[in-house]
Amino acid sequence: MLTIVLITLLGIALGYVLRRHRWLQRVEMTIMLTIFVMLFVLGLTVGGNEYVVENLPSLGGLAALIALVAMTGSAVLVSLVYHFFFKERGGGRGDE
Amino acid sequence: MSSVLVLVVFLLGCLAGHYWGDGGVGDSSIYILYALMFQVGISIGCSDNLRQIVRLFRPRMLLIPLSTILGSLLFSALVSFCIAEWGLMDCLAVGSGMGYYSLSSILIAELKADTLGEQLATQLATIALLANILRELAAVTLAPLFRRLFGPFGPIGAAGVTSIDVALPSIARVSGREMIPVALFHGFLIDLSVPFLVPLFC
Repeated sequence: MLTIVLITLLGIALGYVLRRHRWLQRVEMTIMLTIFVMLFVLGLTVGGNEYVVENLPSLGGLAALIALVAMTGSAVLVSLVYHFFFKERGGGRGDE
Repeated sequence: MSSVLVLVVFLLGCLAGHYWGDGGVGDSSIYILYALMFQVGISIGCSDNLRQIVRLFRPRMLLIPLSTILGSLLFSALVSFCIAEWGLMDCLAVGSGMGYYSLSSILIAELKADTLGEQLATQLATIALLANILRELAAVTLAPLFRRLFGPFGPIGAAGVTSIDVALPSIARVSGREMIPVALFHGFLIDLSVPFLVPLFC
């Protein structure tokens, strides 16, 4: 896990140092390509996994639960932030 | 739309894996992951957005992505107390994806294999993929509901990382166009945090 973080930080450092170089913007595209490759490989692992394929409904159910619960959690907390830090009590609107 | 393409590629992989098996490719995927994270880092480091965001920045704006993260983590933790199959760290790993379904599922599949074994890691990665796809879909379709229940920031927090692109039109429609800078800033910071948060729980 630490390796991942270090590699990412290394990338950030390199990206910052080389930020003037326009060709670096191509990295957005290579990231997409790498993601496609990885997702294909992930698909290979998932598709070849009998348990996952057979239990997709229950896995999907749990996924829906976590998704909705996490979204609600985020929404609840940001609504508190809005109420206490951003909402104008009196007249006009403050900066966002 | 690239998210459709992403899903198609994944499904093609599923079909191939189902009929022909893994082929041992899965073992090399950790190195592809390293390459991916390196590139993600580069894109963050050389980002043009960085300068604009620094200029328009007000400290209290940080509270919004912070709340999104805390809210997702806290409530995901609650789920782990209600179910038996997965532990606290597992649910946190899934919840910390915050809509970033491609990266979070890839990270979980790789990193959780050390603690859970490959079988369970694959299952959890699938859950993460599905959960974060659903989050993106729900953010777009249920934006009015989140606006009504949780105020102008509600749809933004609910969207997570997708507030920067896919969910942005819905957010602008229900919360107002003046929320667009907030949504962009929010999505950008969530995008930064996912590569660090998901491995944290793996």
